[in-house]
Amino acid sequence: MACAAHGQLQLSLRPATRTFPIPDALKSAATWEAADFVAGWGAVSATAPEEHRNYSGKCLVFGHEAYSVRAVFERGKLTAITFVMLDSGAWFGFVPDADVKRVAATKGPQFTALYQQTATDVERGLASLAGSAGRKVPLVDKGALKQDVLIFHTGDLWVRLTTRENQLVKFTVTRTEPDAVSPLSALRRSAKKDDQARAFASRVNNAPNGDRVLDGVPIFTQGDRAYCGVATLAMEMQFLGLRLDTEDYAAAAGIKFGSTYHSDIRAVFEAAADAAKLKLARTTQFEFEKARAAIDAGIPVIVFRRWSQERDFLHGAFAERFQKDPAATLPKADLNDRKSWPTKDSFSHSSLVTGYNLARREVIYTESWGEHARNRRMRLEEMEGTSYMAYYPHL
Amino acid sequence: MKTIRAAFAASLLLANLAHAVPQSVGNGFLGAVGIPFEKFAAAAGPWAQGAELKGPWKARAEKKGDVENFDLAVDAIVFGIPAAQVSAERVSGAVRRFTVRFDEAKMKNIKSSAGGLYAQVVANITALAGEPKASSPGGEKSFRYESSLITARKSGAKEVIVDFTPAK
Repeated sequence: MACAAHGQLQLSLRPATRTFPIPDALKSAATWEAADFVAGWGAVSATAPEEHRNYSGKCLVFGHEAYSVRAVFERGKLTAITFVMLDSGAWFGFVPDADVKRVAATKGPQFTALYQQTATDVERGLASLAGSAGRKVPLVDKGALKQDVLIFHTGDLWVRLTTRENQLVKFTVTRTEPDAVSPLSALRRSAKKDDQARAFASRVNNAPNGDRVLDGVPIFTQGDRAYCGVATLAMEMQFLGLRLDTEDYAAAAGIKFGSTYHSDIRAVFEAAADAAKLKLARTTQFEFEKARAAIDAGIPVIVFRRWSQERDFLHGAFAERFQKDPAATLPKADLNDRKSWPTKDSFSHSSLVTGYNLARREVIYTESWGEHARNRRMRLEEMEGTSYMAYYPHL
Repeated sequence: MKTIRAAFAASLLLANLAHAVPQSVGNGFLGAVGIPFEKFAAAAGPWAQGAELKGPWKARAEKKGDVENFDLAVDAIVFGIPAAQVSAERVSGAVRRFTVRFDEAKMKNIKSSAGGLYAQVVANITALAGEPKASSPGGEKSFRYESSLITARKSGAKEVIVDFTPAK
């Protein structure tokens, strides 16, 4: 069983339109200014506080093809590039709990060998570029996200290498050393709390139709991976300045061999808030007034809820129709409509609440499936009635 | 006892959080043709004289004059709901009708449609196409969507039939 089937894997399904300029882009900031290189990320706003973009072409680095290459732009300036070289979720795809032992036994040894080879090749390649073995630094020093990384100084750029045994190999290239050694964005590292609050609140967009929507929330597509919870967490936390990725959270949660079996995602949510220096309120049902306060402060809310393909179609179709007909309305949340809502027997799913419309009594939410699933709408009664957990980060 | 209950509740929460849904890249009709069936059937293309019937279809043995009937040979999710059968009627080389049959008894996710399959089908068509253009006293509802007229009706206690015909 799967979510509405109109998504894409993060990079592998995209046509390769250009080749990533390796190794120059790993050691020369001048390459980051080249028009041809910047064009590979698509159109970027010069005024948006922050945008996340995937590179449109192939990237072969240190003998391995990257699974994804993603950049952060701050007010139009490229500030960081993250290469995911190997991710167990992407390699195995979605594995149902019932199959996890069989898959681990049959495909596990092959993945282990690939992990060791990739980790070795990437570390050697970075050491060669830097002319040193790298420096070990605790990126996060406690909790489920506790992680040491290797820092390399390559030319006039900095690189942070993250490896998680049998799960993840990725590295992030930055312009500055503080960006490499800290998991927090410059704003979150250095600004006063009031300034941070103002920066968050400045991203609330009040539309003429009464929508209050957060602008610029990044979407990280989960692909055919059991990653909705961790992808949603990454979208939330990157928006709030914690520079960790979906794959970091998946590895920390113990999502192994493509399965969430025995994983501990809740500990990772708490650890992410801690690493982001945020407080994290939690309720066992979505509470609109709490969500409204969070959105007003410029902070998205993570909701875990019951999900059915049938009901998801309605929300996806309505979002499409609403674009053409702003007077369109969702079904009233009457007794008949409630019978169509997903129940406890339905699938579990995680979504990011990115806005609301009080007059229409609608919650606006975004899925980790791609731009087509940004700012969908649901009556707040349904969000409350089908949710079983919600997280409200705050400063 | 309280401690045991609290631990049990906590374990349920963790289990719920761990039970994630993947994002599929498509199978069945969507995987074969690249678009959902309702988008395919609502477009102008399939109704044109001589248009290719996209996807794997199997011709029925009987043929009456110029009328040919086909059954879709792969699964299809139509309006977000698994279809029990999808068929096409072609007359003199032009498709005249697609018929989708939903059968509550054959749906795996039956509990999500406990409110009534017909109500759910109609709600989902409405979400896509807007309010029905016509409703019959017998409960039949007709919608206009892109190049098609979509008509939904109950068929027996547990079945719903949806016809796509070219809009005039």
